[in-house]
Amino acid sequence: MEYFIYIGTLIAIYATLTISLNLLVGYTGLISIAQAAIYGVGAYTTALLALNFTNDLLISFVCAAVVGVFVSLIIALPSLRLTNEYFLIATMGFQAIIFSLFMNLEITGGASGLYGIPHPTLFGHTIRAGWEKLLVALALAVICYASALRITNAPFGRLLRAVREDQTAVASLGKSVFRVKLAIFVFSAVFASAAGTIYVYSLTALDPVAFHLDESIFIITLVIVGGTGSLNGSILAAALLILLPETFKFMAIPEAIAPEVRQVLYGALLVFFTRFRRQGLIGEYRDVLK
Amino acid sequence: MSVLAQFAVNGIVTGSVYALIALGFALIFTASRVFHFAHGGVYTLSAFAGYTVLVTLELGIVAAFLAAIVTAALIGVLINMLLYEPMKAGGVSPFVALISSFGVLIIITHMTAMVWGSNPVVLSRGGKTTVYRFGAIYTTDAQMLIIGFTVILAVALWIFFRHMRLGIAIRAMGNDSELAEVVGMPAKRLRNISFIVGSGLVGISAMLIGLNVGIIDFNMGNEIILMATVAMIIGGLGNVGAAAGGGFVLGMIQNIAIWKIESKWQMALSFAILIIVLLFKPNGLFGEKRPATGL
Repeated sequence: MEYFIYIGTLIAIYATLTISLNLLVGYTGLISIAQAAIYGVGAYTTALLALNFTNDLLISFVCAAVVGVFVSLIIALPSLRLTNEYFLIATMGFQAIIFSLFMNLEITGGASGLYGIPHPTLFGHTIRAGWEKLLVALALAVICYASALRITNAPFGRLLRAVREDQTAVASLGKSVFRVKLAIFVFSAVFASAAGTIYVYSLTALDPVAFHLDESIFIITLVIVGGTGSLNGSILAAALLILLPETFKFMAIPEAIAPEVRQVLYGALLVFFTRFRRQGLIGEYRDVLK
Repeated sequence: MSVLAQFAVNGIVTGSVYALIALGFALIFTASRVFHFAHGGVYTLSAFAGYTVLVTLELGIVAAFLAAIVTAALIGVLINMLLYEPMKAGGVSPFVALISSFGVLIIITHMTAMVWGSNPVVLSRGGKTTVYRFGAIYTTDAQMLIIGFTVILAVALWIFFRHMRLGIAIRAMGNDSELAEVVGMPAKRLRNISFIVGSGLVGISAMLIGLNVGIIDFNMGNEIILMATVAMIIGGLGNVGAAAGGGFVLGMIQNIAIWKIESKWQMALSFAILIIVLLFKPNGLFGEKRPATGL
C-alpha cells in the first residue's frame, strides 16, 4: 500500500511540474529547459527552512515560491531577450549553473544532498502518514490544474497563444510581448517550486540528481507526450510515464538494467512524438512544434 | 610564472578537445541548421566501438580507429536519414529536430550503458606514455597528437569551406536549403556527406581523447557535447573555424581560471560565459556579422 501511495505522490508532483512547463511550452511557445532547476530551488528552500527555522507547510510553500520567483526572474530577464533555440540554450545554461550551485555549495550539502528533514506541520498537525502527504500533493496538483485552466481560458490565455503564433502581431496591437512572457514564466515558477516543497516533505530528504538537466528534459518529454497546449494531456503523460517503468518489476527485465531500460524508453518516446505525433497523446495543436 | 605557463598548456590541450568536438558539431550545424546534441552520443558509442576492437578483440590501434570512425559515420548519417531528413521534408523546423536529438542522445547513452555496463573501462593501447618537457612545462605524446590533429583539421576545414566548391555549396545550402535546391544542388546528399564527415571526425576525436584520459564511460558524451555547444556559440555560429576558436578560448579560460577559482566551478563558469556571449555578442567572438538570434 505504501508503494502505491508513493507512486501516487510522484504522479501528482510530476503532473504539477508538467502543467507548469506546458504553460510555457504549449501555450506560449517558450521551450525552457530550466524547469528542474526551479523545482530544485523550491526543494532546497523548503529543506533549508525546515532544517533551520520552521517546517510549517504553508510558510514553506510561500518561501519556496518567493525564492523560486526570484530565481526565475534571474533566468527569464536575460533569456527572454533571445528566441527559439537561443532561448532554449540560455535556459540550459542557467540549468547547468544552478545545478552546479546545488552540487558545490556548502549550505546545499553538496553531492550527498540534505537529509533528516522533519515532517511538515499544517495548522499544528504533523503530517506524517504517506496518505496525508499524497493528499497534500494532490491538492497542489489540483490547484495548479485549476489555475492553469483559469489562466488559459481567460483573455490572458488568448494573449499567450497569440504570442506563440505571431509575436509581431501582438506587438503591433500595443501589447508587450516581453511582459507577457515574463508573467507566465514567473507564474510557472510558482508551481514548479511548490512541487519542490512536496518532493522534500514526501521523501524527508533531497538528492541533487533529481534537479539535473536530464530531469528538465524528462519534464519536456512529459509535456510533448501529453500534448503541447493540453492540460489533461500533461496529467495523462505524467501518470503513464511514471507507471510504465513500474511495470518492469513484473516483466523479465533484470533489476540491474531496469533504470537504463527506463531511460531508453523515455528517449524513444521523445523521438517518436517529435517525429510522428507532435500534437502528443491528446493535444490539439500540431503547430506548436513546427 | 611557470605554473601559469603549465596552465596555459593544459588550456591548449583542453581547448583542442573542445575544438575537435565543436568542429564536427559546427560542420553538421552549418549544413543542416540542427543543433545535433546526439553528436555526444555518437562520440560515446564510437569510443566504445574502438574499445571493443582494441581491448576486447585485440585487433590493434589502426583497426580500433577505423572501427570508431565507421561506427560514428554510420550512426551519424542514419540519424540524419531516419530522423532529421523526414522532419525537414515534413516542414518541421530544425528547432524540433533539436528536441528530438536530446531523445536520441538519451537512447544512445543508456543503450551503451546496457551493453558495456555503467562503470568506466580502461582504454589503453599498452606501452609507455612519452612525456615531453619544455623547460618547466610537461606534456605527453597523446596530448601533442590531439593539439596537432585539431590544428590540421581546423585549417583543412576552413580551407574546405572557404575555397572549395563542395564546402561553399554546403554553406550555401545551410543558409537557404530551398534556394540551393532550386539552383540544382543535391541538398540531401550534401547534408548526408556533412553528417558522414562530421560524425567520422567525432569518431577520431573520441579515440584520441579516450586514449589521452585513459578511461571511457557511457556518460562521456554528455558533458562534452555541452562544452562543444558553448564553444560553438562563443566562437560564432555557422563557421567551423570560429567554433574551433571558441573551443580554444573556452579551454584556456577554464584552465587559467583554475589559478583563482576551484575546478568544481568550471561548468558553471563555462555556461556563465555562454550566457554573457549570447546576450552581448550573439554573433560570437569570431563570427560573421549576421543576427545569430534570429536564424
